[in-house]
Parts: sequence; C-alpha cells; structure tokens
Amino acid sequence: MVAKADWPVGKKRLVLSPSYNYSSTSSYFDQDGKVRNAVNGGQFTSKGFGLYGATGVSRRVDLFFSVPMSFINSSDIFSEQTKTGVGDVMVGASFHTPSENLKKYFTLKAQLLIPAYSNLTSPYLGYGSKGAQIAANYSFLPKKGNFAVVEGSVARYFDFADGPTQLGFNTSYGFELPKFQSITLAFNHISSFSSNKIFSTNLNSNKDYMMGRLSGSYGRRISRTLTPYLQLSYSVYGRNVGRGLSASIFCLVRLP
Amino acid sequence: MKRLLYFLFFSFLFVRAAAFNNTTDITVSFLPTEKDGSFTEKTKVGYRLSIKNDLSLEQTGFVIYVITSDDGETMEKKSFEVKIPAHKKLQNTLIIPHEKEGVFDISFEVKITNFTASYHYKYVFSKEKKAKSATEKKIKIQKIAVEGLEEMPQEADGDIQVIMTPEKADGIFKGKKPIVYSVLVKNTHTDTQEGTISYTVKDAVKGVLWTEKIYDVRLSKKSTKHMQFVIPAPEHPGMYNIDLTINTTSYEDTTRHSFGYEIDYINSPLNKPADFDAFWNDALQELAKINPVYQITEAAEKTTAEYKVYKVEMNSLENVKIFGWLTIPKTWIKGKKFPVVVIYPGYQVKMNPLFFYDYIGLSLNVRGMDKKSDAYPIPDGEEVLTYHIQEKEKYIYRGIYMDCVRGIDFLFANEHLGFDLNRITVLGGSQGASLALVVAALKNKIINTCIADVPIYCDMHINLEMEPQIKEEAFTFKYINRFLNNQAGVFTKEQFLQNFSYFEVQNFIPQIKCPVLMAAAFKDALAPATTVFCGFNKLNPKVRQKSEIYTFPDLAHEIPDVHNLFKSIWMTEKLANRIKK
Repeated sequence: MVAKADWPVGKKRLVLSPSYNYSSTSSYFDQDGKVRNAVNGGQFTSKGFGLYGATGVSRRVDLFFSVPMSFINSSDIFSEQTKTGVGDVMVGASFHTPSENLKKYFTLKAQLLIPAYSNLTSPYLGYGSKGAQIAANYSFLPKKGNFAVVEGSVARYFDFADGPTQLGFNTSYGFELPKFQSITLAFNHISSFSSNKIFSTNLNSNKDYMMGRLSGSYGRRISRTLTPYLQLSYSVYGRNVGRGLSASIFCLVRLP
Repeated sequence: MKRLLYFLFFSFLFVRAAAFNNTTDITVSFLPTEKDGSFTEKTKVGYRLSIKNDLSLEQTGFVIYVITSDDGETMEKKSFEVKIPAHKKLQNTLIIPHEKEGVFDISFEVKITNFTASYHYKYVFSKEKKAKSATEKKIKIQKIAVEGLEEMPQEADGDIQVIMTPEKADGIFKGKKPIVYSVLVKNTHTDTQEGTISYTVKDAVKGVLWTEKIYDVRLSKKSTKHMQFVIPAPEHPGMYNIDLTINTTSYEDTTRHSFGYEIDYINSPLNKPADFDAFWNDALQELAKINPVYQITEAAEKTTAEYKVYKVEMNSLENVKIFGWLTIPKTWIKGKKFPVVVIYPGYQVKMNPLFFYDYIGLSLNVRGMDKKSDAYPIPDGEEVLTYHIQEKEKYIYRGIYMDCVRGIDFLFANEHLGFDLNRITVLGGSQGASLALVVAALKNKIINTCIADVPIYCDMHINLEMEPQIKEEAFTFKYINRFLNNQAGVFTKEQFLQNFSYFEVQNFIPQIKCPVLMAAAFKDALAPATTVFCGFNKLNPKVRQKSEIYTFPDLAHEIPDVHNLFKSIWMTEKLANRIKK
C-alpha cells in the first residue's frame, strides 16, 4: 500500500515490479475528438514486458528505473509491420517531504528518458528522442486503509525541434479490502504538444495529442514480499490518439 | 427525589462546564454518552467531545484525560492529538475501555493553540446492567456530588491561559544560544487583570535554581498578549523544569514545562555491581536447565481473516508457566520466513495479540502481570515492583527478565513456524521498553533491533533522587515508599538500591549491539527524561551512532501517534539488515 501511495520505499529497501502489458486498438479519436474506426481494417497492438525498480537511499530519497521491452504490431488489410525491442528507459529520483504526522507526503520526481532504440523503420517503439520529466505529487490517507495520490507532470523530448512537450495529470485512489486485497482506481490525463500535428496509425509516433484514461487494478498480497495485480485501462476521451482497452499484469516485489 | 437531585447536579455540572468553556472564539464541551454518568459494560464509558473553532487560525494540540479511582489511584492517563481547522468543529465520541467497577473521577485537559482548559466529572461503572448495585453507586456518587458542591469555590467569569512553545519543537537545546520560548497569554475575564508572570528554571534532578524572572503584566479584558522568554543557556547538560506562575487580580496558577540541554552529555554513574555479569550468567544457566515444554494452540476465537493467532505456553525460571500470543499473517508460505517482533508488557499490563502486516508478532505475558494468576500469585498487599526485592536471587524481576529471554528461546526452538531468526525486533513501552532493552543486552548476538518507548527503571538511583522535583504521582515512588515504610528498620532505601542495581536497565545497556530507537517524554513521572537519557547515553558509541532518541516536551508517560508510525518506518529500515553473526 505504501509503495502504491508513492510514499518513500524505505531506506535500504528495494521494490521491483515486473509487468506484462497488452493493448490493442482498431479505432481512434480523431483531431476533433470523435471516435473513428481505423481505415482499411487497421489494427495497432502493443504488448511487452517491463521492469520497474525503486530503492530507498534515505528516508526521503528514492532512486528508480524502468525498462520496457515491447512488441508492436501495426497492420491493415494491405500490410503488417512489427517491431520488437527495448523502448524508452527511464531513470530518476524521488524526493519525499512528509507532513508532521507522516501521513501525507509531497514528492518531487525527476527522471531522464533514454531511448534504447533507433527509429529506422516503422512501427516505432517511441519518439526515439532523449527526454526529461519532472513531476510533483501529493499523497495522503483520506481514511484508514485508503490512500490517494494527485500528481502533475511535465515532460520534454529534446532531440527534435518538434518535441513534444507533454503535460500530465494523474490521480489515484486505493483502498484495502479484507484478506490482503486492494483495489486502486486511477484517472490519467496527458496533453502532448508539438508543431508536428500529423496523426499516424503508427500510434507511438504521434506527438500532438490528448487523452484521458480510466483504470482500475486489483491486487492481492500472496506472500510477505509478493503482491500481484491485474489492471484494466480504458481511454475515455482523446484527440489524435488510439482508443481502446489495455490490460496489464504486474507484481510488486518488496525486498527484503 | 434522589434521582431529581442527581439530575440537577449533573445539569449544574454541564451548564457550569459549558459556561466555563465558552470563550467567544472557541467552545469546548464534554458530555457523557449516558446522561446520568452511569455506564455499564454494554453502554461503555463514553464522552462526546466537541471543540468548535470560530477563530480564523487552525487549532492544534492535545486532549488529555486522566481517570482516578475513588481511592485516589490513577487508573489511566492518555492523550491524543487534535487539529481543528479555522471555522470548523471537531466532534468525536471517546470510548474508554473499562474493567474495574466503581466510582471514578475523570478529568479532561484541552491544550490547543489558543485555548487551554480542564474539565472534571465523576462517573460510575458497573459490569451489571443498571440495577441494584448501580443504584447504590448512584447514591454514593450523589453523596460525593453534594460534598463536592459544598466545597466548590465560586468560579470567576474567566481565566488566564498561557501557552508556552519552545523554539525547538522537540524541546532540546544545544550550544551557547539562549533557550527561547514564545508565550501567549490570553485573558478571558471580562475585566482587566493586573499582576505578575514569573518563571523559575531549575535543574530537574536536584532542583537547583538556574535562573528566574518576573514580569509585571496588565491584561485588558478579553485580550491576548504575546511574550518571549529568553533563558540563558545553562552551564551544565541536563533536563530543566520551568515553573511558570501567573498571579493576577483574580487568577493564580502555576504550570510546568521542561527542556533538555545538551542531552548527548546527560549521564550518570553506572551502578553496576562487580558480580553483575556473573549474576545474570547464573540466571541464564538456570533458565537453560528448565524444560520449556512449549505448547502451541491455535486460538480460533482470536484468529482473523488475515492472521492466525496461537496461544503459546512455556515454562520459565522456577518452572513458572508463562504464555504469549503468536500472530502469523496468513500470507506466510510454509518454508518462507517472516521477521519477528517480540513485544513485552507494561507494568501489570496483560498483552493481547498484536497484528503486523509484514511481521510475525509475539506478545508475551510475563509473571506478575496478573497478581491472581495460578502460575505466579502475588499475595495481597504486595506489589510487583518490590516483591522479594530483599533477596536479589528471589526478586520477581529476575524471573520477569528470564521470562522475556524464554520468549526468544521459543522462537529458536520453533523456527519452522516461519521465524526469520536473523531479523528479531524486541519492543515495548514503559516497563515493556525496559524489558526489551534488557533482552537486547542479554541476547545481544541474536536481537536485530530494539524499540523502547519511555523505559522505566533506566536509572533508579537518579529517579529516586528526583522525587522531590516530580509533582505528578508515580506508582514507582508510591510502591517503593510504601514498601520502605513497611520495612522501616529492616530494609533501607540504600539496600533497595543496592539490590535493584542488578536490575537497573542502564547497567545492561552497554552490552546492546543492535540499533535502538528510544522515546522520552518531558512530563513523564514514571520514566523521567533524565533517566531515559542516562540510559541512552550508555549505549556503546558505535551502537549509539545507529540509534536514535525522540523527545516529546508536552507528553507524560506516552508517545504520540506519529511516533508509532515512525517506529514502523524505522523498524522496516533496520530490519533490512540481517544480524551479523
């Protein structure tokens, strides 16, 4: 619960989170936000494994990383393209400031985004550009066994003049259920700004878009260190962006 | 008629309380959940607390309640933090667990940013439904009430509240800089109050005056005055008491505040007898010869959806059977291990199962906690603290300390239950803290982490020397003095201290090898902060580097909720390291 609430991981502790993600879409939100079916039976599928890790270097500072490994398939009735590889690697640090009662934390995060691939052929694994993101969040316990996090973020990709620059807003609310179960509901919004307004069915290459996504996850602690989760997300609104349901399975491993 | 008188009396109390508690800006009330102040096991002892803050300033602070039995013994003292945002009202019902029947005094003290006041009530608690016995008690309370009415002085139409806040929130000062307090004086009278505010600063052990000052004050009606006390830094490390006296036209009161100066250097001589180590080696060897005959029985009635609870029984020194509660999270997988938290009891506190998300918990009941128990009955008129103190080999605490060690033996004999024997924490509060420290010393190759909140018995020599400076009642002084009075001419205070030296916690502390988290409260009469510092500062320097002590200037024998949260963070951090063997 603590890790999910974005509280400090704890000095000398390590949290690892391997995950498997799957998303597929055959429709999209157009530039006016209207839902359109992809032309020529187009389908964009992304699946892959990821590994997130965070360790506490002090009571207030955590270091974290994330490595995604993606398999992308973009197809229509005329062609099919696939790409497999490591996507944007992320490394960063979190700085937590607790309230006097240690039940609320203000957290600043800074992270670098490093592409581990080159966009020589489509489909793309990402923008193929180095970037940086800073985020600030406030996490607290509205009542016993519940947590909430509100976060804002700004990201910028540097290697190309058309960026993009992205603003994000995330909020999540989690609560514990009996027998070590928990449910987390989240809403994420992202606005990506770029002079490059082109919409591509190669969804990872779109730079000027906006989307809102709702997600829910269910987790159950199965041992002292392992808590697997199942998460479903659905994009509820957007512009120049794919639309659809995605699912992921991930596991929080708290060590030692 | 009696019922009517009774009702009128309580009505008077409530009206009086309401009138007394009403300032123009903050309104406080405590109302019993049973209108007649008569509670049963079914109704529970409860008081509805309401604090209305009409100020545009958030109010934070504490509510403290003290329950005293009709023979004057303090039954319970607790405090909790409150926070009332500007223009908001806090309403809560305080349910007070109760076992003992009788007539009790309960006093509430509210200390928030701009308001300080006390409230006093009487109540009756009986296990039976309100029947004959309750009626009898009502008659009794009525008598007390009438007596109280006769003695009750005429209350003035206001009071003067003084809030002193140290520049350092933890009340700890260092170096040559002066000790600074901001002082807020509020006159709630409807007339101007003139007089003096004075303070004396004395060292907490001997009461030697360090400095004093007197100010003339003139407080207009319904006014607030801000002052600052700048106290020169003392010459010597120590705890210091500030007695603040306000004496005006129609108000007089003295309150106490304390601060610590250069606490890293507060120390006292070690009172360790030459044969101290041999004495405890003998005790450990004697314990090793006792067949523990461990019995583990699932306590189905205490098992929950998340935890399995077992009653564990074992034989300890002198073949005394002790027991504890083992709680194992149901996320335990056979063959895997959980760190273990062993919790020791406060003075005559019966331990219940304690539940930890990430740990196996063992809460141990030691001998003497139940004076009527078959395993180790204590005769009427005897107190645990002094039971058999005349002979150190028979003193009850020799057995109690060994009971605590036996709890650790239990873990090593039953590793298959999932105990991570490289990650054992011992913890406790008050006497439990002392027991945790003793076990951390006697089993220093095994214990990974120790948490000790307001440990008593750290330095009983200093503690007894401090008695004249301590205003609050403490069972330690009460029982020791009563015992020494009864033993006049047979067993002296010096003999008591000589024998107690074998049990004084500070004599064990240098042996501790694991990190220790300690807490001291400055208004603590049972574990005076001086004695806690004397204990903490006797940690081996290398151990002290990885240990921490937290201080709470406004609290008595307790810690705030936030410290409990911090303890879990601290414990998790320290248990990340396996013990080096």
